[in-house]
Amino acid sequence: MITNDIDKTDKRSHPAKVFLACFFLLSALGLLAVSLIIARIDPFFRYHAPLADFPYVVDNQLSQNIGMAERFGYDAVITGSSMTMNFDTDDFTELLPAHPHPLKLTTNGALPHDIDRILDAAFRSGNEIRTVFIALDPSTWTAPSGAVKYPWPEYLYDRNPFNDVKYLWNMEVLLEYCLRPLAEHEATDLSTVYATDWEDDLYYTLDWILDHYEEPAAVAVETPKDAYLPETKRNLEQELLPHIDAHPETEFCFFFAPYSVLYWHGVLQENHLEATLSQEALLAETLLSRRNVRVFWFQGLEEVITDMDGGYMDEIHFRPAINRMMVRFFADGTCEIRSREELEVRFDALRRLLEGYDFDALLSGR
Amino acid sequence: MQLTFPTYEFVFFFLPVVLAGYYLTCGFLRRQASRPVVVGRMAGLKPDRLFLTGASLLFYLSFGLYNFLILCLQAIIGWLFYLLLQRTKRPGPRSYLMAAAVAGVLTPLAFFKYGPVSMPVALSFTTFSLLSFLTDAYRGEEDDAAFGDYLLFYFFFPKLLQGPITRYADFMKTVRTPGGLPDGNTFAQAVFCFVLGLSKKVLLADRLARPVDFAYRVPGDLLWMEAVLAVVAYAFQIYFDFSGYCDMGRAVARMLGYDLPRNFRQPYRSQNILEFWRRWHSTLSQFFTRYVYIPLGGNRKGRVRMLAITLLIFLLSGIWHGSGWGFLLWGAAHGLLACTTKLLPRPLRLPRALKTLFTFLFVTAAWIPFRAVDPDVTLAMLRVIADKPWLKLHNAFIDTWTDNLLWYPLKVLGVPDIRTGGTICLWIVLAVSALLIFAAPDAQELSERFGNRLAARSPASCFRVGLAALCCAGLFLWCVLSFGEVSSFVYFQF
Repeated sequence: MITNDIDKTDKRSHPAKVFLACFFLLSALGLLAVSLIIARIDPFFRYHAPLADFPYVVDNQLSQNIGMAERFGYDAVITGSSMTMNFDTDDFTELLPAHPHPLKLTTNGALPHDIDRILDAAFRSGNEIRTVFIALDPSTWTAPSGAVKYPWPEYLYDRNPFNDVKYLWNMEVLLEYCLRPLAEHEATDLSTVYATDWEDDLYYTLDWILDHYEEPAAVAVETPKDAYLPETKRNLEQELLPHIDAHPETEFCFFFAPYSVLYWHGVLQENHLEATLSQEALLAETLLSRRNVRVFWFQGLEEVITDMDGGYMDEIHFRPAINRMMVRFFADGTCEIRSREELEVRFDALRRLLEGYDFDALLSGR
Repeated sequence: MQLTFPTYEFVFFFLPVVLAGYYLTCGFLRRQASRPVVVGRMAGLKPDRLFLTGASLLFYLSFGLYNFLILCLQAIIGWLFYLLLQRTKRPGPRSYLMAAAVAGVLTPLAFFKYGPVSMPVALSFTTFSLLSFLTDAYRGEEDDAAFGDYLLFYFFFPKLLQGPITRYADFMKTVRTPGGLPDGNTFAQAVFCFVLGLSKKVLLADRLARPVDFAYRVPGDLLWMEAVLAVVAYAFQIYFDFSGYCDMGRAVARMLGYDLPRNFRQPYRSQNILEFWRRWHSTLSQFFTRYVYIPLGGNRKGRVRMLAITLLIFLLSGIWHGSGWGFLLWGAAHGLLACTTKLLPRPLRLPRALKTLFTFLFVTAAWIPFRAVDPDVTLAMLRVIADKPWLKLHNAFIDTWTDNLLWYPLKVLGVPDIRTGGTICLWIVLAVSALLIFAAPDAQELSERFGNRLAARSPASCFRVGLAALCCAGLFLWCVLSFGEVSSFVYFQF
């Protein structure tokens, strides 16, 4: 009898089946639950516009910019390199009343193709975009065709639903962008998104700058004046002009940010001042050939670019107050240039300034 | 897209598709009374093996066409040498042919390892598999190989990238029955083992990799405690990384009805260096013993020769791992201690724990040049460790240990700041790693015990098995959610 009981028990028990069934079922349920949480909150705005009552954390340019460009509602875009990150979009709303809802889509170190992708997404969004503000950093315009500063998480941008698992089954997305905001209830203020917290006066000092500055070695042979022109022209034609031409209803407002004199010292050391200026001239001239373009050149603002003890934290990154000043100038037209000739005059002023500037005294602060 | 084991593509696409295809093929074969389908005159290719060979080729193709073509070329060269060896019966020409075969197989490895061109993934392992195959053929131990079986042996994807290094005969022993499939217990056991291997790689090795990478990037800036922790962390990392891969490879093979040899047997519990090498990457040791140590005389031709061969084998092992002098130093250090151990008239009379500790410390120290490769980095690391002990840690170093999944609960429990939280994370990760390495059964043992429990088929075991499924599912979920930040395997580069 006992033996028979054992046999019956044996026949009913299938531990391997129990294990496999439980394992696959629990795993599937777990993955489904995580997917549902992430898809519902959608912190990278892949599937839908932001939920009204969720405190979104926005701090990842590569993962969140495209989603913001495609899903948010806005009437102006601010994009380009870190020269744009300290803009406060409230300044635009206040000083440029025609743009009550600007969106900032900074990509640090943005190369032309990065900007192209952002503009693609913005114009695909269906928003009626009145103005696009773009920072022009000459050094990035010689980038190879199609190059990006940092690799983009393509799974967030392509139309392949299968690789979405990299987003939907991602611990960092779940913890950092879904659960942490729920716990902390501190949504990112989109008007200052990506802005630095370098307000501390400690960083805006000459001592700080010189401590972290590496003076480029002097180059004897001058870079030919036209050295940067072919790549710059190609990038303009491939990445930027198609957007400008395809959207005549949109105004494109480009600006050369005010790099400090220390930046220009590096240019002089490396002996490519004339090559850089002719590259800037090509950029400005080509862009100004379009009716829907405005160009601002802030690089000749002597008081700004020579304020090394208080205005900058390195050769190019300036205080947020300068961003506000630029918005004011966008509004009143200060520093706007309308022709190459006008730009050449300003170049002359810059050359004179650099010629007479006492870089030794500046660098002796070390 | 590279199909390494801890990727979404492998776990959720490649593996299920291969399993489904293979099981369907085997089911078909069973119905057809396992009649082999002959493709060409030379190869008795059976559909199930043909399917697996195709799957393995696709698997490797994911690492790039360039790599794929080089491995295919090596496989073809190997097979041609095999055919020539089969047809050459006179001993003289046969030995010349064997010498040419060894040169032909080793030259590409030397070229890629020491030349300016990057080495195809897996080439080190396929080279040794091929050497073993050809040597066995030369010795007359392998004379009925079929091309299809050879291709499967060469490319079999669960072992392709990082071994274990198997002999053709041993590999084929497990596949003699066409259409043979694992039973439910074996499959469940394999799933269990796969999850444990995956956890070792994703949850431990990759977590330990962060402080290790940080430390070896800036060795000169490290404090004493940081250098010591990084060195120990690397010893743990490489174990979890490599053994985790082997656990996964063995588990996948078992899911397909194949049995691969065990490559790790809790090596850090060894009491001397010779025992360590019987437990660490044991198939590499077996390879060297069988194809270098014994042919050169082993311990039959006097002590001096035995010691010289021992040292030579460890130097070869170092060279096999890479071209930097750090590998050579690593091999030399192991070789010298192995020779010293062999010279001892009898084992030292010391407490077992002390011997284990000494062996672990020695192996851990020897990993320094192995990980650093660059002599300057090695020296910088050793200089910091030789300095006065100091228990302070930089914030940047602590940050590399901070894990959000651990830090958030700590924060909820009232841990005041991220520095304290990071320090707690550091000790948790190290303590768990040490516990698993020195005190707990390893993945293979656990899966064997689990298999026994499955075989018991009692209601009580059903409950425990359900509990195991819950734990496994939890670990699996954690691993899958961490795939986004998984690095490649340490042994890929060798």
